[in-house]
Amino acid sequence: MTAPPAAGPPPAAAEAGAGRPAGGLLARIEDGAVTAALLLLALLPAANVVMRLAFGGGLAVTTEYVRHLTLWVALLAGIVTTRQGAHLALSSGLHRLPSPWGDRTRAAANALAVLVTTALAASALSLLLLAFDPGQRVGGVPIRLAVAILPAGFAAMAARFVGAAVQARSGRLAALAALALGLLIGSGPLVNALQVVAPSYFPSYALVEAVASVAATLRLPLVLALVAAAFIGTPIFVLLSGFTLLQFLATGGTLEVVANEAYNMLAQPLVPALPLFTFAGFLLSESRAGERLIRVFRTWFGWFRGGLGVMAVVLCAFFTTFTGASGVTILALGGLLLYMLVENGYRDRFAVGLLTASGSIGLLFPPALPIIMYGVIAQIDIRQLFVGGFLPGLVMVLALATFALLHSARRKPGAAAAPQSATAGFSLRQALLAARGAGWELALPVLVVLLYFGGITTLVETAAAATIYVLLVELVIHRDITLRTLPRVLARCTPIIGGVMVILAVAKGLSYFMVDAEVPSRLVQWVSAGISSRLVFLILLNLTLLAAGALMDIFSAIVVLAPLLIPLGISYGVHPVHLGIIFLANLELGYLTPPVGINLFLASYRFDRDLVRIYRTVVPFLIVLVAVVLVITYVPALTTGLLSVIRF
Amino acid sequence: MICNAIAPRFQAGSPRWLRSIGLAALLTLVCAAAAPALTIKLGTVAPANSSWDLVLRRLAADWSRISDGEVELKIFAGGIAGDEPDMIRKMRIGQLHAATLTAGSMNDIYPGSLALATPMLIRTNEEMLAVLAAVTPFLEQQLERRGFVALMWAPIGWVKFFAREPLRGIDDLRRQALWIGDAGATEIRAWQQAGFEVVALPVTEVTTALQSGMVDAYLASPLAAASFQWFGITPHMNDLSLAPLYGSLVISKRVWERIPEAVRPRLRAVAQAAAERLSASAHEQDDLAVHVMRAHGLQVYEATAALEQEFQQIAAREFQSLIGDVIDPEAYRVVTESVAAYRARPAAAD
Repeated sequence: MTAPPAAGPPPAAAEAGAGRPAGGLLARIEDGAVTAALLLLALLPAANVVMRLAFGGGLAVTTEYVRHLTLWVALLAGIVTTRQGAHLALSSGLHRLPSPWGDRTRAAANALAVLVTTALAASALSLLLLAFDPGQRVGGVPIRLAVAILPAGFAAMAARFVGAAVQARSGRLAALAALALGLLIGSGPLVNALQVVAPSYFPSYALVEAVASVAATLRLPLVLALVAAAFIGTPIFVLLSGFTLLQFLATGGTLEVVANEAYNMLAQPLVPALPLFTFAGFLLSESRAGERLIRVFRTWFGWFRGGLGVMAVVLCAFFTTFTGASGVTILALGGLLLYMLVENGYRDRFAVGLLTASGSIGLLFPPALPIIMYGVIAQIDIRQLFVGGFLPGLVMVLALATFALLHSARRKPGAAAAPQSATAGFSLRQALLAARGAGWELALPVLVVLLYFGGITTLVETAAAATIYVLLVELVIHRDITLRTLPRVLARCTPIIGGVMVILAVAKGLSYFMVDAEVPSRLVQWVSAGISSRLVFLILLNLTLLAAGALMDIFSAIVVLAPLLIPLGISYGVHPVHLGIIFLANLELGYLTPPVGINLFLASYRFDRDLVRIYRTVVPFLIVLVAVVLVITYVPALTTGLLSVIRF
Repeated sequence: MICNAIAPRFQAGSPRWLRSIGLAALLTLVCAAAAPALTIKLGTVAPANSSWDLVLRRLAADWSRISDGEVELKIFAGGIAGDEPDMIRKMRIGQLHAATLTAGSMNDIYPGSLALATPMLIRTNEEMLAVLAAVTPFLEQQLERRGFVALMWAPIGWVKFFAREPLRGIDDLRRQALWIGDAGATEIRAWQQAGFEVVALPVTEVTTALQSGMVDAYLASPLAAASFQWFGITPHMNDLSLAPLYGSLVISKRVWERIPEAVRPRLRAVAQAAAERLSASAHEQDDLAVHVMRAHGLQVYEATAALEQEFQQIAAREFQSLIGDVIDPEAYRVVTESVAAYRARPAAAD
């Protein structure tokens, strides 16, 4: 669903802007702050490991520091994402219409973003003053200072959206009106905040109540307006938080709770692993690690017929595991792999489909981010999820690899798919040489598994160690990335971190609204009254998740749907780990489901094919993967079998 | 009536038209909804159908009956309204109105709430009940100053040591990496100075840390050890009662004062009756948990006099640093005085 930037400058400009370090003093300060926060986020837990191993105990307040540092990373990255106009958004192409319509849609989308982020900033300010005790400290730092980035971050985003809106001809008035409306919607939190600052001031709530009553009356039309706004390229996080603010406003709730849930989400102890693994993944994709790995997998798998296809699948899975749900695999490896496959006789259509499909598998292996995310939300031991996901993940990889093999076997011998001279047979020497070249990268999964599953480090510490390891490998050993090009790598991964984490933060507000309205328990009652069979429940679960995956990105879908579906799953006796794997396997397909799967967009962009052609090429692979997902769903033993064998 | 209760928020001075719009809005919003006049959203981390949850549900029925349906408690059990620090924030911003809190997080509201749980200070169930009763007026006063009204207090068992390897004496404990909660710097230093190898982690990481061997031992109430299923990895428990725990039901003062004044004392009375039921069953819960864990192979070691004495010394030497840093000295004074008074009472008082 995501796609290129909607609000803000068009993608090309954002690309260019990302590439050069310049762009004004403020921009440089923002970039510098993200870099510093991200590096600190990697260094602190790593230092803690060293301290603990050396002295026992570790740095006392590390977790508290790291949790609040993550808040800073997310919001700072969110500001940069806004500047680059790279927030995840649905793309209908309307904003690319020629002037004046494209101009007007962009202005409208930006104005809506101004409105919502202004209200968010007001809520966060009030939260800061009301909910956090001035005396409370985060290891010496006053907690209010540590949390101040929440209102400041949303305010800065609002300012950036204003800046983007006024670029359009009709945008100035819209931006000003939106700013005023945003303040009006945020009047409740603002009045509350004023009361804390000036206790003698006794406010009137008349305005606040009036706003609430208008929201309550216009609830439905406003929701419809938000849905419509999705099609003009409004960032998803704006839609989610706008919807949530509206619901709380209309039901007599407090708006501060949206900011509070953002804090809850971002300051969760396991969340720092997300930006860290994303950073590590980007370092890999921006270095020449991809080429080195291709050499390795080619010497290992490329010598038999169809081996090259198998190689592409395995390599993509490997890479996706580390780069998570960002679709980076296609961008990083797609071009090179496509060239190799076509050179070696694969039909173009097959190769494009295979690579597009392979770009999403691998999400069930450690340390893939969606699994971590699901564990955080569902409060399930993440190691159990990793163990449970191993076989289903393997089946997915094998299914695609087999498909690739069968495809080349069907072709006549001597046709182009036959092995080429370059890979004429298995050569142990070549294989070892290639493996040595990529040895440092190949050791990464080993390092992660040893540290994390061996009980030496926590998940966050593992992520920090992996990040530092990759930094050292690519910066010092291979020198693919230099200190001069490091900012460019960061500029590319910041919008992914910012985009995803801001969505996570505001989606938590929506799921709390559902808790507050007791939606999950009512849903359980309602569904269990209508459906008694577990099988029917599972079928409906598959359909729901496939639809969700087609419409939402995997992170939003996890945050919004998991709290609703987990109680249901439990009431039907589905094993929590199995439920998690069903969840993720289904959503994984969402990457490939037309019309809005992210991999389809990325493939269309990377392989320079139009979207409809990509849809067509991916269909056979989609059918194979749907079959695998059904097997995963209806054969629980595939997931739970290993769990009963491997006990920690 | 709630409409009366909210009306004072409209101050003279705001434009008349705004006031009338606001009032109209209120009337449609609140009064037209007909439903209960005041819905109090109460959060608890106690799981649904646990003893606390059952007591709270009965309280909800009692409150509804006493107030003629004017005050309805809506209970969010099992931590779905957030963990305790989060529920405190939600009460402060008004999204949640009441919550059950335990000593550790109450300390975030008033840093004297932990005084009752000072290691090795209160030693028996009887002492705990007596001291709790004696110091609640002081604690309630402190909490009220900070915007919260505490309606009931009840002990919830004792913190004990659990470990992977046998726990006969203090040396057994010093040999194993001990989890002491998501502790702060002062607390970690105190334990380290007492010669322990300690690990501070958020509670969400403990299961993993135990499984992977990063942590060998931990401090928890038997109920917690049983319900988190940690005892499977740590089949050894020492019976030494390091400190008592308690829970409390607090309500935001703003919301409490919206309840008609005449009704409040009666609501409070049934809450206190509920507390007594919880207090009576508090140690039974722990005993039951130990019983169940024993049936699943838990080995319980006696708290020897030597061990008791060693920890008394550690408390006197190392844990004193917590007073003033983590615990308000005044609360500590109030608690110690009341412990002394209880111990000095004539024996006939029993």
